[in-house]
Amino acid sequence: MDIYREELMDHFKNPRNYKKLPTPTKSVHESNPLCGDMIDLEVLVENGVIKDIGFSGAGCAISIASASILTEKVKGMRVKDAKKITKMEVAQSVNPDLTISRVKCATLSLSALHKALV
Amino acid sequence: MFDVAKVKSDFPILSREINGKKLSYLDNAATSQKPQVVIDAINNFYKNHNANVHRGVHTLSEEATAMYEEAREKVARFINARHPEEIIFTKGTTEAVNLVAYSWGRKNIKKGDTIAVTEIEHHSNIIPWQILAKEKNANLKVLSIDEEGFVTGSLQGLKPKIVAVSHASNVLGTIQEIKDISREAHLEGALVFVDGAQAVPHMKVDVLSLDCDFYAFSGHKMLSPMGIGVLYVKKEILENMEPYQVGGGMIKEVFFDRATYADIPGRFEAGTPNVSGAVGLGAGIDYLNRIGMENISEHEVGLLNYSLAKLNLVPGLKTYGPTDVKRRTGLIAFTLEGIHPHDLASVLDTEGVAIRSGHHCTMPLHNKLKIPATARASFYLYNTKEDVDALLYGIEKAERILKR
Repeated sequence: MDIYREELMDHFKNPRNYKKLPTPTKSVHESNPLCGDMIDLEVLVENGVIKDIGFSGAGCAISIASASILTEKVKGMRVKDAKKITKMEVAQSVNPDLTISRVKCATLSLSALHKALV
Repeated sequence: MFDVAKVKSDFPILSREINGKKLSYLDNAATSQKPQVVIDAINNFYKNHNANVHRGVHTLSEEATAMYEEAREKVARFINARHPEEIIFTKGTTEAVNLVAYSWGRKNIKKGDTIAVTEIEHHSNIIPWQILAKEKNANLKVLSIDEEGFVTGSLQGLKPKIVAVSHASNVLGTIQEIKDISREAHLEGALVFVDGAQAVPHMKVDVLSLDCDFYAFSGHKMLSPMGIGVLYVKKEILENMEPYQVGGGMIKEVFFDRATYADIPGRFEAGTPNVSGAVGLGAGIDYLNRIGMENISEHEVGLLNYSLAKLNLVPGLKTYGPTDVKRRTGLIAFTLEGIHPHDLASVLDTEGVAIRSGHHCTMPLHNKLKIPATARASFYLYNTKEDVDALLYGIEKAERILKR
């Protein structure tokens, strides 16, 4: 089992969209009480499209890397499409070998995104 | 001392490989592994003696009852209780705290009374008291601890009705001076409830010398099955306590408008008890007695000295807990700069090393330490220096992969 593949570690060490937006249309805070991971996620939505997205926070490598991967994926996406992304898809895109306990880490950013797009 | 290699060979699971590596099981504070004799005792009960206990007059029922009550006597001797009927079997420590908070608490806690807990407690020794306090409009007073986890908050003038404190911490390993706390509490007119889940597996516990009024612990952390635990209550207190759960097995006489309850300890064991669990616990106690609790403590102190010396050399690694290894149990919580405990635990797993990561059910303590989570390695009698070396190797590996 190798959940810390190089590509994933690159997202952890150089997270994409790790930033605050100057004019977000929505900001949310989400946390995982089990491990204390927390994420602040901001979106700029215009005409039903995610124009920009940024996150910040503290967490394990899996949660940071998955937030990086997810934000990269949804930037420019239509809100109604982004809402359809499932936990399974995110976990798969992060690493198909994630064990059940680590799937929670990988999907923290998705929970935040869904909250932000309500 | 004892032969650790021989002890290790008594535990079938310890010969398992995890991810192609030898298992180094360092999650004993969560639950311990079980020796073959305990597995055999459970097996033997179901194979040869299974029947419901009490009241049955047939042979199997009498055998099962005798085995169940013999386990109770073993527990009483193990913690030096004066009478076996001071021992109540529960599901575990959590149920024991709930039992006391519900049964003793509802009868004795009144509006405006004070219940004292400490900052170091496990959630299970906080929430039952918190709910009781809310229900009764009583005050929940939190006694402060120092850096090493020792209770410093004074009881003087507080006049609490009960003081709930853990004997040993599941995060810092801190062994509290229960004797002193009992003396101070009794001077204030309070009773003392001790959560001994992390103490009984690792050291000689004598409830008479601690002079506590309640003492609770779990079987599964001391080589025995899950789902069996113990609540010790001083006889004169227990006799005046109301039932916790009600139903079969705990009554004397039942009419539709009233019922009278059984004598202690049956009054507190409604329903069919976990007989195989109790029998397994008896076998676990026999095993621990053969090794000797003093020897187990000494073995853990040796592992603590060895691992603390090495861990404290790792740059960016911070260990928590008392500096005096004689005043702590065999566990070490630590943080590693820049690496989340969950990631560390995942990497260690690839090396066959099992540790725990998170807040270990002590969010208030972690808030006090100002850290969201820690990694925790916890030892037991079958652990060796090789297990510690595997831990250290895994930490190096985690740093190679995860250091930014």
